[in-house]
Amino acid sequence: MAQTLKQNIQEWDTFHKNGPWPAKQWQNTPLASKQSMPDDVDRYKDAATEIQSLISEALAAGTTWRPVGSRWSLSHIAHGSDTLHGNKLLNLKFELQAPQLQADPAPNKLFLFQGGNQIKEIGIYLKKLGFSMQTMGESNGQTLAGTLGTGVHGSAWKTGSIQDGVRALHLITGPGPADSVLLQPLNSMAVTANLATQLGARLVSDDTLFYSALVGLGSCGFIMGVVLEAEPLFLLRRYVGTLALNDALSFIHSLDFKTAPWKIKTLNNRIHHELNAQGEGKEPFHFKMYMNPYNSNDPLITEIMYKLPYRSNYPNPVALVRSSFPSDTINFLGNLSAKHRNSIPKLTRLFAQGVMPNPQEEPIEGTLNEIFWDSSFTGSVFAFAFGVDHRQAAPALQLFVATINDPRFGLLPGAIGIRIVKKSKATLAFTRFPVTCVIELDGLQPDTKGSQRKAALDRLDAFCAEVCRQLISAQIPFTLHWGKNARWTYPNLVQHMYGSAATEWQQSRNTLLSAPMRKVFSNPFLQDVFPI
Amino acid sequence: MRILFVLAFGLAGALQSCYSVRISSGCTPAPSTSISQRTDFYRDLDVQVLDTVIKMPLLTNQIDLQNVCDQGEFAVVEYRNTFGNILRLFFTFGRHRKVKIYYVCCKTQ
Repeated sequence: MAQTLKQNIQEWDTFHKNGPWPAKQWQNTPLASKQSMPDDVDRYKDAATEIQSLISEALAAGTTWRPVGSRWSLSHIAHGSDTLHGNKLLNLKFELQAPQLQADPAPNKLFLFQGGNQIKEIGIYLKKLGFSMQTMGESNGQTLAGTLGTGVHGSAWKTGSIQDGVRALHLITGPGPADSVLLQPLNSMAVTANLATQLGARLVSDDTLFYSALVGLGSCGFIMGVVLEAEPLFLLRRYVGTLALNDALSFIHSLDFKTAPWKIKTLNNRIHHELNAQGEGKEPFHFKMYMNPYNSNDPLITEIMYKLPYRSNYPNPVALVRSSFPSDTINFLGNLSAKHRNSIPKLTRLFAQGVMPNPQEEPIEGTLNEIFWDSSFTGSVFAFAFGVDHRQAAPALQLFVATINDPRFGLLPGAIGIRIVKKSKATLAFTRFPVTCVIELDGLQPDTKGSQRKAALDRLDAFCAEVCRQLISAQIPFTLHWGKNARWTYPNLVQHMYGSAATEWQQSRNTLLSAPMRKVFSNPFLQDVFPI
Repeated sequence: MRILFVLAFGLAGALQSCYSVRISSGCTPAPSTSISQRTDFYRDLDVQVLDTVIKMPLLTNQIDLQNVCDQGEFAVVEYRNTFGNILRLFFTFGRHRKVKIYYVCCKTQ
């Protein structure tokens, strides 16, 4: 039997120290041991029963109960005032078979993962079976349920975000037998009642409910399991080079990459080989840029990846990924910070002088899971990210850079990342434009307590609010990344970003959860975003 | 006096710091089950520390770390050595060896 570990706490914090916030208890539910329960389906159901008993306790006590993944979000979305439940130990994995599926999705395949599986372990598991996730974020430590709560994305502009590969969700919405729901979209049913029965759940096929729960902000019940579509294993060939800002904006606006191999400067022009049969640049899988907002002479570092069929005889790229200009901006900034003894004034001077390296690296090849490798930086960071329609990227970026350089907000030592992501069907996905250009500032904040830190956080909060104000003023529709810093109490923010979709999401949540359960699964973030 | 102070301070520092080597196997490391207060590389990981002085014959250089991980697989192993440990090794003619190993097992299901 699964037995939950309970630790009384005074406060808790995110992985990158964006809190702390007061809380009362930290819970963690390990699976029943294989020795005591040999069948994995039994272990899965046993864990679901334990989760329901925890929810029942919270309900009886009148407290809130918050599922937490790897606590990588920088906003307070994972925060709960009473009990927090870490879900990383719930990591069973199943390959789904014919009677459990509506149809064979060959050459793709469907798998059921418990919500606590981390992206890295999913990648390792799938690789052994010859499959891969369709996309992932910049790194691999998040739990699957955590990525869905906030809408984690990479820069796969024709694929989308992680949630776009989800075909069904197993939600625990309360303590009763009817509160175990296997939810799938009606317009694209993937699983049968056979699977639901095996999991002890009832099958619900409903588009509105599914797409609302898909990016559920951690507030639409406990994500016990996720039916995820994987595709045959593939390789990515990654180039890192430099690109003129005008050319970058032109690619983002047109989504036409035919001239990219000639515009992106890479070592020995190796990218010149990335041509299609017509001799034009191939369509990339991934396209991302890094920009120094304080020095326009710094090169715009560009990372572009092309998809290749899998082959086993390629050099392991992990060592090169670690030592090359990182895909992960936070790691880059962390290393830079460590090199300069965490001195914020020194770092800001450095940014003003020009800090971006001129990458002269050999291209590397690897699987998705190898290219987007571990992030080991544990320091205190902030990130602010917003999404706009890709055709609005140029004015939005101009406005953003001007605000970063506004002396009222002090210098924020950080780099801008620019990515493009396909539209998601999830109701509250911030990738809601046909192709969303996600523009973000990743930076460091003082790793201290007291007035210095408070002043820095206040400046950051004012900066985030000012960006929202300017985007609204410039009539540029936008969304904010749920897992990153922002002034979440900005008036009518969600209505401005999502319009009627915000109301639809609330109505779906009301359908999925009873009134008492809505209180159990509520948290301060939700109250900030949807004030009564 | 000042020189002596600097020398003593320097020696104390040298005794504490020398080098460490961290080896990662590439698997997913086992997560910590409690809220971690650590701020280093092992934040949120189920790190174990073997910190002991062992007596062993001069020509032996192997210790066994068995049955500590469920499936016998390590995600991370880090060996830390200090100048003080090297001095101990020298003055005991290699018989007393300080062993400080940090390790994290692979995450299992």
